[in-house]
Amino acid sequence: MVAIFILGALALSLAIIALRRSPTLLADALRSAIYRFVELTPRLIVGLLLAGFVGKLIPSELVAGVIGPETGLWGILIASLVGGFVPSGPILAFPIVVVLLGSGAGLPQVVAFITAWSLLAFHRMIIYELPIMGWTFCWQRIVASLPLPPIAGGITIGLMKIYYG
Amino acid sequence: MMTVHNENKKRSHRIDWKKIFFDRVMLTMTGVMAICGTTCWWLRGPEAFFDSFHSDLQTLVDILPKIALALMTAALVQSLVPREFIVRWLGEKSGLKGVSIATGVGVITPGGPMMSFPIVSAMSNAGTGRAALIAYLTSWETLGFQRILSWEFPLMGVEYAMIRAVASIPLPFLAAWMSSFLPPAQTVDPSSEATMTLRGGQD
Repeated sequence: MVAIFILGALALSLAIIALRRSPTLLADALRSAIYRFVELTPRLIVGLLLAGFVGKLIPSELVAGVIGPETGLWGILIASLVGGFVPSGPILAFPIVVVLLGSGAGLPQVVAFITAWSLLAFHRMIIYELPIMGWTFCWQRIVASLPLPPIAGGITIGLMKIYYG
Repeated sequence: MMTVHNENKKRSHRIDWKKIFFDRVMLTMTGVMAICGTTCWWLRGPEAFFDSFHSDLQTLVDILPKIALALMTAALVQSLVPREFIVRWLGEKSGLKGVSIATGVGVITPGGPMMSFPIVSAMSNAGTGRAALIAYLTSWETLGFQRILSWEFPLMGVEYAMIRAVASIPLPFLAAWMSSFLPPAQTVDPSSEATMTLRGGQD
């Protein structure tokens, strides 16, 4: 509910700004958003179905036991490792996140998973980063990023203590 | 600026159904999904299969309107904030100020890697230091507004998405700091004229 309110307000105010600048700008943006939506939806459906079936196949006790809220630092490290090897875009990664949260994974562990996936996603590295930035930049960025997923997970533990008490 | 706009138009005007349904990613995912679905039916029974189906449908109905709005927002930001603007903002600054600006700009960079990597390349040509480049990418990857809006708000809920975002605020700075311990990068001539190389970097 909150999400749809925030998103709606954002989209509306930006649409007004665009409209005041030029109606073509708004029309172009609308068109490109519709295109992206049509392109995304079939993949999202497949991604959700896939992650859902995998969730049924992997017992939730296993998920909760390995990366549950009580698994602490170990769970965070395991989640970081697994997240780094998800070779796909958000289309599959976020359905996996939904399944993980639904099967009893802890938020700090999920944060570590998302951080590792977004920093190390190697499909993106191979397609964009290596050809554009070169090998040296690529490995240096990876090395500088390696400790970040566990750190983000650790900060999340602290934030949850403050936020939820 | 004209070329960027024209490219956007070209891409957005027609819907390539073949590309949507028959590209490699889609086919692979559908194949793996079919295998997992069959295995699920087989090992856990039809009940579990339809149960999973049902909850997926619920998730989909819940998130599709949110994703539509998020895509709208992203498309509008993309047309209101041209790539040149972002590159100009970053210029050749370095140090903590450069890293902070890079982090902020990473948050507002819309679009996928086809947007951010040309920016990184242009910045690198313009003489932006390695630390700021790494901060920019780290920020775009972990704090990018578009991903938070399109994926995390709909699928994780605002509360969890915000906690994750707040936990990630220090990451670009940490990555930049850690990169300073690495051997010096072979930089593109840092004294080069920013405006001259900016143009070249975008081609």
